[in-house]
Amino acid sequence: MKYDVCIVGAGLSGLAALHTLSNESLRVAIVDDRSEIGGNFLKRKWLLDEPERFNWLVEKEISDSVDVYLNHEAIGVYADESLGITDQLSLKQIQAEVYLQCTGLRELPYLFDGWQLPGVITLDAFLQLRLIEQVNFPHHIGIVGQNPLLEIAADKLASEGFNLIRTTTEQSVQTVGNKQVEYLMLDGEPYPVDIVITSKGYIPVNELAHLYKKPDAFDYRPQNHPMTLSERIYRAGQSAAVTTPELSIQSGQRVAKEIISNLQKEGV
Amino acid sequence: MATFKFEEKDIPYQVGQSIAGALFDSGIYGISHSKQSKKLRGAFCMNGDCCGCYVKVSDVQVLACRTPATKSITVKRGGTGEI
Ligand code: FES
Repeated sequence: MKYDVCIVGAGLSGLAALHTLSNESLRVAIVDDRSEIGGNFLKRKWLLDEPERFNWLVEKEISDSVDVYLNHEAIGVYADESLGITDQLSLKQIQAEVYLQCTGLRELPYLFDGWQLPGVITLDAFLQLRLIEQVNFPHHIGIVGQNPLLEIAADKLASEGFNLIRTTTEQSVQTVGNKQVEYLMLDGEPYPVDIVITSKGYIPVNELAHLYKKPDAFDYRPQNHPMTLSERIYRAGQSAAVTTPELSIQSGQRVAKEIISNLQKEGV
Repeated sequence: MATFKFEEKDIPYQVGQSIAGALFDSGIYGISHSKQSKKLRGAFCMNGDCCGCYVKVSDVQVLACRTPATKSITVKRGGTGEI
């Protein structure tokens, strides 16, 4: 399958780029490993002040001329630089003039003694379970780690009446339990918990750029710098270490415009 | 409510839940075990990254967080390497 642009990641920045690109007569594909568009926004929006501001992007209709590959994971790059994607049943080869990495942020767990115990989960896991899978949570929840978003989640949970055991970075933290987490030990004091949520922060997912051997691919910078199409791989959104949803969207649009102008220069 | 079997127990699930999500909803966290330490392990990242949630569906190892719960499947604890 041949395209002008292949976007990997259908979160906010990928969708913003997609809509900017689909105003042009370009052949565009968008790939995402989930079953629906929206990416991490779908679960992390719980932590935003006014998540509705961004819904338009997720709800906006995707033009018929765009090929959407949901449930498809990008797994490798062929010798001719085309991208291999799979839905676990079949393998497809996507050939594009340029690839745009919009793969967002991956969570870094905060690891402490006993983090492997069942019942200890990351903040993203909590959000996935609660928002996407509608799981009910038990009452006593331990909170461990320095991710500022974890604080927001803890405040929300406390306001909903959950009983939280919060920790600080100065305390020594450990979880103990037989078959699953039972106690959070803080400076040696045991506090009963049903589950523990842990998080350290996020890092950009940059595998695609690495696959193309362009770990420093062009990305959104406030000060634009010139580049040539020979790069062939671009990044937008939080995979470019952009920090807010607004900036994610702006970077998607900005990089898409850059791609359009470079494709025009090359006469595509 | 539709159910599947996990270690001989009937586990209810809602449409859209993964095997790991449905088990978590039932309060079952130790769904896998470490091959080295023989200790129970559970879903940690819900994102396919940590490999803590391996289970066997009809004897095939899958990640419970990436596999949708479906009617009447038989799920057993799987094994994972130690991280
Ligand atoms: S929970 Fe981490 S891979 Fe499934």
